[in-house]
Amino acid sequence: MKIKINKKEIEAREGETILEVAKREGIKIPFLCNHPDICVTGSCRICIVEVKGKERYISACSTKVEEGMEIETKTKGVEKVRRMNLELLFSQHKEECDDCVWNPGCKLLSLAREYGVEINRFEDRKDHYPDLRFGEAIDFQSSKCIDCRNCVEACDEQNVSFLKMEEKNDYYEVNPDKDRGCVYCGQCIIHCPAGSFESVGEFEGVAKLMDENNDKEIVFQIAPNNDKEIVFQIAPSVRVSIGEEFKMETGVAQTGKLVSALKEIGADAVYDVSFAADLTTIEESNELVERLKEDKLPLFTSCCPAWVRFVELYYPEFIENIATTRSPQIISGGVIKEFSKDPENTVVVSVMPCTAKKHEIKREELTLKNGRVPVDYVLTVREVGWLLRRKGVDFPNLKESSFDNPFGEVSADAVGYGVSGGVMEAAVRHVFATVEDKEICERIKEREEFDTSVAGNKIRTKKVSGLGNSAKVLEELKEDPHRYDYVEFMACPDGCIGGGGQPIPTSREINKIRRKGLLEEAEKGKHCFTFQNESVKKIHKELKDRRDLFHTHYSKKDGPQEITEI
Amino acid sequence: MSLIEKIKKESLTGRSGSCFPTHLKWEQLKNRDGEKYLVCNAAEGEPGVHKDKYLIENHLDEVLEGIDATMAFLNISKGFFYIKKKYHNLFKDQLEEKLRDKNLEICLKEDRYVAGEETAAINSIEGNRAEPVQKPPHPTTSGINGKPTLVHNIETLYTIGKINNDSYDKKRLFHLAGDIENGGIFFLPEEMNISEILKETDNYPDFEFIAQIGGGAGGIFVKKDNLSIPCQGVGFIKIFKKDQFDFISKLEELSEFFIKGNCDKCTPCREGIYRINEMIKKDSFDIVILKEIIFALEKSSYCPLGEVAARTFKSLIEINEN
Repeated sequence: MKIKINKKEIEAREGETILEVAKREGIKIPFLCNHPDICVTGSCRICIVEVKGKERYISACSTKVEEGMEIETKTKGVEKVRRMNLELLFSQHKEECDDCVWNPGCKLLSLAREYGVEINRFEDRKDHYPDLRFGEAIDFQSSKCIDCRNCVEACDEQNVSFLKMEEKNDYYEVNPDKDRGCVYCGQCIIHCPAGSFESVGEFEGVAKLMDENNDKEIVFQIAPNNDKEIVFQIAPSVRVSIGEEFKMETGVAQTGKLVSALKEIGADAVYDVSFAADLTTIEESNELVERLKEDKLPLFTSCCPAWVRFVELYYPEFIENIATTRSPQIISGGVIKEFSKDPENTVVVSVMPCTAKKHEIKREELTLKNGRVPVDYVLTVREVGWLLRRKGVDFPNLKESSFDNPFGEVSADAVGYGVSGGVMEAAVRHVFATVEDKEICERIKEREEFDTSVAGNKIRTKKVSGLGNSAKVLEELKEDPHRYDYVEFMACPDGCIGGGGQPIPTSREINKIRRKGLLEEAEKGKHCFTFQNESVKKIHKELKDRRDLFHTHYSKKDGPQEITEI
Repeated sequence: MSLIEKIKKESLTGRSGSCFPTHLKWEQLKNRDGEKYLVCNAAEGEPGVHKDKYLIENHLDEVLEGIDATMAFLNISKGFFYIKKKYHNLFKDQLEEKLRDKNLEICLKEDRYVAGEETAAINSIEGNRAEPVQKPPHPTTSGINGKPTLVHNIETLYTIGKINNDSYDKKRLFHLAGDIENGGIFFLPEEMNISEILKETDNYPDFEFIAQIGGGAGGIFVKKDNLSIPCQGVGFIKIFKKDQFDFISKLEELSEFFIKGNCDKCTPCREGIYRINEMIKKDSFDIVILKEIIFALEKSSYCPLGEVAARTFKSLIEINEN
């Protein structure tokens, strides 16, 4: 059909919204609450446009094109209303710009500049609203919320429904449900247009750690009197998203620059968590083979802490099905300290695409038998970006460096842990290599399901990402426990590349690009399969009797007591 | 002549205040197969208006006749009687008795102004929060559970009953209230203007006054020299003594009402009306800001409530300025 936008004739397809057509045609219509992965709510009223024949302005995000529609996107009236609506949005949004996950890319602020908005025309309505902390992972600053409800939908989409709308003093607002528990996946963070959600530590925690005078734990300030060994370990998916923190091309791996950058701010060593992913593959494959013998299937993957917590909170009857193998970051931290000359003075800092990893390191059952905690700090990709910017690191122009040894040798399968399907593929390939002595070169991770047979037993494997989808699979398994034998579950849509600790914006579209980039990067390595990684095999052989390094246990959890006002 | 033809001939329009031609809604439903629903809207959210209540109390049989005729003609199998909680408390027994043998389910309306809006009503009947949904699709295409749904004001259905048995006399209900001697509910010719209505009912004041017409919240304010217009919105006229009418306190009262009565979904309605209320509470009235907010509300609110509120505020400013 033909429509006109700003007098220009445009071909549009039935079912498209005005905003979609405009985006495609390069016509800018500002918007705020619209997130590509969330059902359109049309609540912010910033993307309003004037349509010939209609008295009132309509929202471009929620209105479908009609034959012959004549749309004006920037009339005087429209701009006047946008300005007022922006001022009204700012009036409920407490500005804490220097400490915001959207900084420096904040849409609210850039629109304010564009429209010459007086951001403090009105007093903050929500000034007295509380800051709430969920567990030790997520902070909700309700004084910044602009009531778009994206977080509630993202949380519902995850089947967690911890965030809900609640009637309070004549307002219908986002509040945590005291009878439910948060799984800390952080999907609320990447769907909030106003920076109301952040992970614990963003960014005041990082600033504190940088503080020279804080002599208790001088982590990011390598002063002469600092006798700590600061070790960074990088999750597989981080290499492909860190560049976005520096406005570099989406989906292009910046592995070498990240290593250099961390060295520049004083890291004593930078390791690749992928090597521990290879260890996870070995241990989890063993579990799969054992369980196959004992007929104790299905087996579920265990590397995603939000997924594990989801089961502990909402599907405790499946706890027994989760692999006891620890997640790569936890194995990695433990092994690094094991090999350290001075483990007591070694500080392990994880760089993760994840907010639930912040909770994971606090789980008491992960303390090693010598009393050590495997990982001391977890930083999100955003936090590392912030830290490097604060330190004045010229990231895009850095030379490349390699990860440090002895943990620098990784397989492509291990790097693939960063995408949905990666763990399933690595484990199935490893089982085949060890039990059947065969290589599977097919890209299993591209398939939703994969049927095969091991030692004469048929096994059906499945990958699933997003907790909403995960819940569906669990319901299927309740009906038919033999439907799947091995399932990879990832809490965030598309796996870790879509994690709650990734740069903002994050969307399914961006995840696709990150996935492609990560898999290309993975294949650049020396080895394809875990069993080809001799250095990992050597480490595994040396430590394999240390169950406390490789395994853990789970228990039923209750959520209610986890909300604190800060 | 079929019922739809009679309705068309009588040019019946919706009595909710929207004045949408009834036969057009019917046309959209008439030829649709499968499950269809009817909603009798007795939500009566306009403060001070009691015409729906009057109909339930005095003319429930005629209303039900209209419902039966509508459901029979359009082949609708199930209806919902969407009623304000307060009215349900008052007439619970009568309603239950009379609705017992009919396929009519009673649904209670939340105590919020916006809950009377048709898409909000559908949400509420479905068990969700009463919040408006953007149209199109109109309820006649996709309403309750995605099925075609006809939403009529209770008075519209009452009138359809009269048209059906050929007793329609081109009258509608008017509720007269405020500083008048003979307040109450009247059946009067539809086309009567405000001035005529006041005179006909012997209510035309002999003092300087301001009238609010169409509803206690969504009704516009007019001065006595502008009374030759027909009643817009629901049939409601309220008279205020001019020397006792305080612009600022009215603005405060109305903004408070809309803050409580809206759904808090869109920015101009949620935040804009709050700011109007705030400027009065903090004694910092600013006509420039007020007009800017009203403009944003009128032009960009998500649902018609914002537009209705803006219209009321605008009329209030107008009578104050002139």
